[in-house]
Amino acid sequence: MNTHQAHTLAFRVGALATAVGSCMTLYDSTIPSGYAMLRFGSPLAQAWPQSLVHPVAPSLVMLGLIVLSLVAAVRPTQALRTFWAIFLLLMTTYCALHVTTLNKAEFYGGLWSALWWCWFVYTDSVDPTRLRQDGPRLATFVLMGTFLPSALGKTVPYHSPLLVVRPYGLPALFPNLVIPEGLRTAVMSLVIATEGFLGLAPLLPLRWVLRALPVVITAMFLWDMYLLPALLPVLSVGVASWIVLQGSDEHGDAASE
Amino acid sequence: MSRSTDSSRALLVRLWRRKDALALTLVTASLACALVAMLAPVLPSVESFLLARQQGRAGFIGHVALLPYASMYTLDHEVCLGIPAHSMGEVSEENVVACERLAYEPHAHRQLSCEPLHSLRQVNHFPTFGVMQLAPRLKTCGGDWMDMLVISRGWRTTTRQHLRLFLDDSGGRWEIIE
Repeated sequence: MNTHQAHTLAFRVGALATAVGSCMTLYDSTIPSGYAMLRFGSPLAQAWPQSLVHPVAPSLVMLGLIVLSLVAAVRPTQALRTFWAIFLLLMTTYCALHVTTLNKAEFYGGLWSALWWCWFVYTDSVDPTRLRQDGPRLATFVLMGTFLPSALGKTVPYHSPLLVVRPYGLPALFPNLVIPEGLRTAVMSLVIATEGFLGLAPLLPLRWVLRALPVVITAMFLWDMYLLPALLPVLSVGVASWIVLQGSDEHGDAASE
Repeated sequence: MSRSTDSSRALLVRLWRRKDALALTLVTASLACALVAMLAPVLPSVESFLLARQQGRAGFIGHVALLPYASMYTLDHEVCLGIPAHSMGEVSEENVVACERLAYEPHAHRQLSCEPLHSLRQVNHFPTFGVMQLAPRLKTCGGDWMDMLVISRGWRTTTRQHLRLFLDDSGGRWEIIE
């Protein structure tokens, strides 16, 4: 796999992950939650511009992103890549605002990922060699922006200035499972350690992070299936970074031979 | 790629020298978010913002300002339910049992009960979704409006909010009384 092939494959991973994640978000969140908000006449919804709160517009935009992602994955021309990246960033920002009206954060990780993909497409068009040099390490800042606040947020106590792990986040796969308090604290400590590890990725060896990322994200998905739309963009950045590194390594090896 | 050129410090130096605005934006925003998350527990204003946001009082700018932290901090909300009120007369006999079971604790003199409501107290988007879950309970009781007191505890301060839930043809709506 030469450099060009690796970059194309990495882009396809991002486009397909975006399509799948958008499908899930469309099904899971945007339409039902938005309609529920309107149905119950929440003052929260009334305080926002209706174009943001109403679920129809974000849903249509997301449908457009799904189609565009699939087309771009099949025919990754430069024009389509550029259009996809810009549309992804704009759509992610718009939908992040919409989802925030629902007090959810599915697109929070997506914001950083969308920025990274914009950088990927732009850099690939002007100086492809920089993708290998800077892309994977830049991806670690996507992980920091996504996971470090999440880990820190779980350490804030309810009523005490002490650092107390909060007992929430039970696995959605086991809805009726009652976990003893002590075990819950241990489980949440593990979650915080895991998210903290990913959040501190800029300080860790790159290959450790890229190898651990799929395992950790898969574990998070098993922990809560509804996290997948938020996790997929981050995972796609990690996988794309790995592909870029692999392709470049092999190309470099071939060149040196 | 050697380890020294692979480090974050080397990356930042390269990005700065090349004036790579897009990458620098990503790095700066990521670092800023991490920094605010670290400072949040010691900044009362962040807690006030979060409390207001979760109580539906933050408004547009407050929500946008807290966008990256939308679901990061889950505050504790204790929900006290009032007696379901109704304009159509007394609660029907067949609904009394369900009403006592679902709407309030009978041992609290049916005035105002502090019900744990475990499914609600730790969600980070109360009262919006919490009220959605309460509307069917109110309907079961045959009432058409009900008061609630939501005691929200942050890590430093506690606030109280009086809400009123109405049932109507479209399902329900709620208002902030005070």
